[in-house]
Amino acid sequence: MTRHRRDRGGATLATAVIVLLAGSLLAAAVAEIARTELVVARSRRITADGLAAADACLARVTAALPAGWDQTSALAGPDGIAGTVDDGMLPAPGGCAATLVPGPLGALRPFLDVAASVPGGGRRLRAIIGAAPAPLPALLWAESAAALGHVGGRVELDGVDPARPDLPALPALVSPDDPALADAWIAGTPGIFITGATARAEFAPAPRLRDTLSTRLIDHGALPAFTPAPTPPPLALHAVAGDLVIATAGYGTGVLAVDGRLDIQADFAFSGVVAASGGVGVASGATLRIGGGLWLGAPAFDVAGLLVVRHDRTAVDAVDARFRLPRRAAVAGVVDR
Amino acid sequence: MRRARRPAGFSLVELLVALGLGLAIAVAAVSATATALRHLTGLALRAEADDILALGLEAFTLDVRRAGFDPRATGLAAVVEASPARLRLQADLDGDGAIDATSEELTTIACDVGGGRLSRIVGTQSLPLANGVVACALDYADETGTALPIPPGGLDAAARRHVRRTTLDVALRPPGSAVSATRSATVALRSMP
Repeated sequence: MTRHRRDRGGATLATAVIVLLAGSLLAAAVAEIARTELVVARSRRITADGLAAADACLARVTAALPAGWDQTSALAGPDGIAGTVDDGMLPAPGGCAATLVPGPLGALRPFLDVAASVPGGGRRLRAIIGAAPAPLPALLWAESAAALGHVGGRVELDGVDPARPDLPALPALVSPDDPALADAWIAGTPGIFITGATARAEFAPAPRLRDTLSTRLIDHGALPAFTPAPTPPPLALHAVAGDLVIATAGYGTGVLAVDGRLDIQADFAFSGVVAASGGVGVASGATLRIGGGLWLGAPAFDVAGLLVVRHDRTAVDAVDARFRLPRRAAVAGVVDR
Repeated sequence: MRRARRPAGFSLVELLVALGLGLAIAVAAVSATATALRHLTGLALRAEADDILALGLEAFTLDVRRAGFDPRATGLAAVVEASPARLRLQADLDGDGAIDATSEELTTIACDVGGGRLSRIVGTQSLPLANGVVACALDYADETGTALPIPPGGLDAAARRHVRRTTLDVALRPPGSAVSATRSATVALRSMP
């Protein structure tokens, strides 16, 4: 009788299969958890990236909105005509679209809709566009950094208000051009002295010096002529058409808007805001001292004498209470959509 | 010459050794599998806790970002209650100039560590964001980032106007887990005071 060889591998094989099966199930479970977590993490990253992209887009588009009293011009779109197909369309960085639409308060507080795209998704925001709380963006607010003019004398800029240590120092100069242009001009002009903690040049849309400022001032009872007073006078608004020459020493307070060139040929001090759409000239031996802000068209400077601008928020607030100054646009609220 | 045949089968000693080894291997395998399962369960719980916290903090983030949304410039206060355990926010989402207290226009983030819960209360309806909460606290800072001291009754109206950012710290320990998942989010209010 043939004796069969005993099968001694069965139990081992079964055990090995069971162990392998259990191990495989565990590995599959771990892989499934890892896969789920990867999907969740990817979704979370897309959400975060989208939100960051939308926030960045919102900040850039808002910074480029025109400064002023409302957003009527931006609501009219690139062609400047309300009621056309491009109403509210705004230039936006790549991967982002921005549209301005009237809010319940119209152009005073419009909505800015932003849609940002990121790989795998995107994000949409609706922001309320209001006005910046601070009336002045800088000591000097220039229409162009490419035409800042000539300083043969001395310009002193102090962005620190000693009476208001709670306030941040104002930048020396803002313009709608690349701040590097203004920085280069300042660095290459030996007659400019920036004191204290005054910040570097920044970007800001141009103030609307021509027409808009004067028109508003006249609507608020601005006087059409200006003569320096022998002592600091009470606050007043002045909107002068054409060039203005100040040839006698004296003082002024409030707003002095010149729709042309402002020429200083004597010692003159002003508390508040001086705006000159044709720039400012200070003759050799003459002095212009401003406690507040100086807004200039192009070319901005022709300074042979001394020009001093220092931060005086009290003077600016007094002006702002009488005549609301134009402001940069700012985000006043956001809803994620 | 005929050789004596080797007896078939195992001796008792061989059998006992084999049984002992088999038992040891089986115990080791069961133990390893149990440990792996325990770790796997812990991993899953921890991952779930992380996801729950992330979702909870996202809800908190969106609520804080939109607080004070006020298209009609009615002077709406963004924060109407601020304490370490509760943050109540309002936003005029439909732009009608009024807050509908039964809608998303009024939301509350509520920490209830005693009850182990983080909740989002929409109007009067409480929606749990996370259970198993073992630590949860809100704090507030002004625009310079300076922490605002919180009196026992929470910030008063004057102090609430200075709140420009708020932080939520949450720790969650899932049932059966020995490890807590901890997350924190600091969110700036986007409305202007």
